[in-house]
Amino acid sequence: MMLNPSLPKPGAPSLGMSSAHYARRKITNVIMLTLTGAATVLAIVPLIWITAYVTIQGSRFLNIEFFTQLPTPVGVPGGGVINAIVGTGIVVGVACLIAIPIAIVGAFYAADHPNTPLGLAIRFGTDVLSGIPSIVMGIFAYTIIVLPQKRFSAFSAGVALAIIMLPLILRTTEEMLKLVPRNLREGSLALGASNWRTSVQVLLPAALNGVVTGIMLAIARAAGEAAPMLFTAFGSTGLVTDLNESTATLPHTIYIYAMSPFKDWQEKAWAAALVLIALVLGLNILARALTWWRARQMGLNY
Amino acid sequence: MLETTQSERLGMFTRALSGNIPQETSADTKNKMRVQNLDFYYGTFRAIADVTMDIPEKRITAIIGSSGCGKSTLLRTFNRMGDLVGNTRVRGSVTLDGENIYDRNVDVVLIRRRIGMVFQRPNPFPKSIFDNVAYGPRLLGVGGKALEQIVEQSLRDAALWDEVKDKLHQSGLALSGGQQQRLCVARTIAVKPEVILMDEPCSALDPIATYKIEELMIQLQNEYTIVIVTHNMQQAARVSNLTAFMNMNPERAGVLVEFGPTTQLFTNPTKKETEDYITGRFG
Repeated sequence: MMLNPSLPKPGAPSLGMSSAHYARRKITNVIMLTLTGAATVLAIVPLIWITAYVTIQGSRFLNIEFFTQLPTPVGVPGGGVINAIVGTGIVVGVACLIAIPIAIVGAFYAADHPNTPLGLAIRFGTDVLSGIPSIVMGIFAYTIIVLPQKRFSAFSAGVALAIIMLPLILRTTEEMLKLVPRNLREGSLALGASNWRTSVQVLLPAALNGVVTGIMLAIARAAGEAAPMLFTAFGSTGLVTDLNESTATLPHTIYIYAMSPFKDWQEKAWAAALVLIALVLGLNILARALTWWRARQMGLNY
Repeated sequence: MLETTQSERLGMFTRALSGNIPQETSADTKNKMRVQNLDFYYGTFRAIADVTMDIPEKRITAIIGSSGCGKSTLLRTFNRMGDLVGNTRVRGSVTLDGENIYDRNVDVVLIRRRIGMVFQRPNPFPKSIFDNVAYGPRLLGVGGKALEQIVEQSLRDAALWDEVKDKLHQSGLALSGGQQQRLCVARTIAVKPEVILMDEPCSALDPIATYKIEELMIQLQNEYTIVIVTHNMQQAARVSNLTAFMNMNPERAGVLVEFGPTTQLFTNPTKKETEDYITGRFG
């Protein structure tokens, strides 16, 4: 503790501190700084590595045909994965339609009644749900939809992904709603608005940026799931738009192509992986741009 | 302020009081709200103890007192805002035109439509200026031309129209603090409440903005019953017809010490406690 307001001379031991102690403190500081820096670099390396590697590997085999053509049999050159791109879009779309409304309404309840039995149950349930491996969601959707209907379908895949997305969206929305200043809520209630109107017209718009980010992260997670697709969407070589038909999806296509012994399929797996990453990244950037623009319009720059 | 004597300080209030709104007693006006033996509990802690007061119609009633004595808590029981905090309890009654707002079959949403509130910190919604004011009327199903008229009239009544008429579709958050607070007043009067509660509406504002809000309150009292909680005794002296002085009892519960015409309370308080407070001996 420095009692003297003048600065200590560099390297000089200060009040009540031996020079050995001082040296040890400086060394500890340097070591810890190095360790934290190294850990940070280590954390970023896989991200850059994966992105760069997939880009390099995948871009070699990317062309217009890849986005517009159906797959070709092994050995036949050309062809694309339009069926998987469309399939992923449909399956994720179904999942969003199911998960987003339920998650947001549930989040309103959980944020509004945090200490009621149901509020606690929602929070505990979603925490457990988000820890369940995605393959279990696939088996679940298989059991309740595929088996009774006796067919694999895009719809069943959408249900499996919805269960994966639900806890992610619910918890982020709940946290974002809790961050909305209490006086905004009171302002609305003081005007004679019901709780429901207040939630929809004041709290949700104020929390929208965070909610959209949560939805995007959930979509990114769901769009990349291959395991549940094995039991639900199953895969298809044709372009399918019927929810009751089995359909190809990007992660599933990557899985099949990458596991195959054929070189041209393996190349297509790299290209499909790049498409998947770009799709998810693109969605994220788009959502960020939209919410940023909206926030600026509303003068809401947090 | 260090050297002002008691008589100088009283003189200050007398100057603030003179040449202001009429200071007639409440004898000739009807009571809009009545508070009877009101207790308010946070859990087991009694924050308000046995408050009884009548709030006259179309007058400004000020509540003053030191920090933490329960002024805001009391004000928030008048439109059941206290309900929003979990684990609270009310005993006694608060009536609006004779109807107890804490009755079991009273709809709290309807009560809040009749008793509006302006908060300590301006809290415009993150929406446009127009949408902020239109929020309340829209809840009542007003739209189209009628809605535009209500928005314009409310902004005029809140003395904000001339400053914002060319930018109604910009965000309410882009306004200055004083303008935001007047926007909140406009938003409140757009639903034509009968009573307006103001919880230290000027505490986050500069003196000029404070002056404008005070002018506005004096205008509004022709049509509305106003209850204002304020830290600022001069403000209470300047704007109110009646003043209530609150203090904490030994159990730290807020009690009403003295309530009467503002002139009388500031120049000739009946209680020693009130006199000590307004002459600055404590608080």
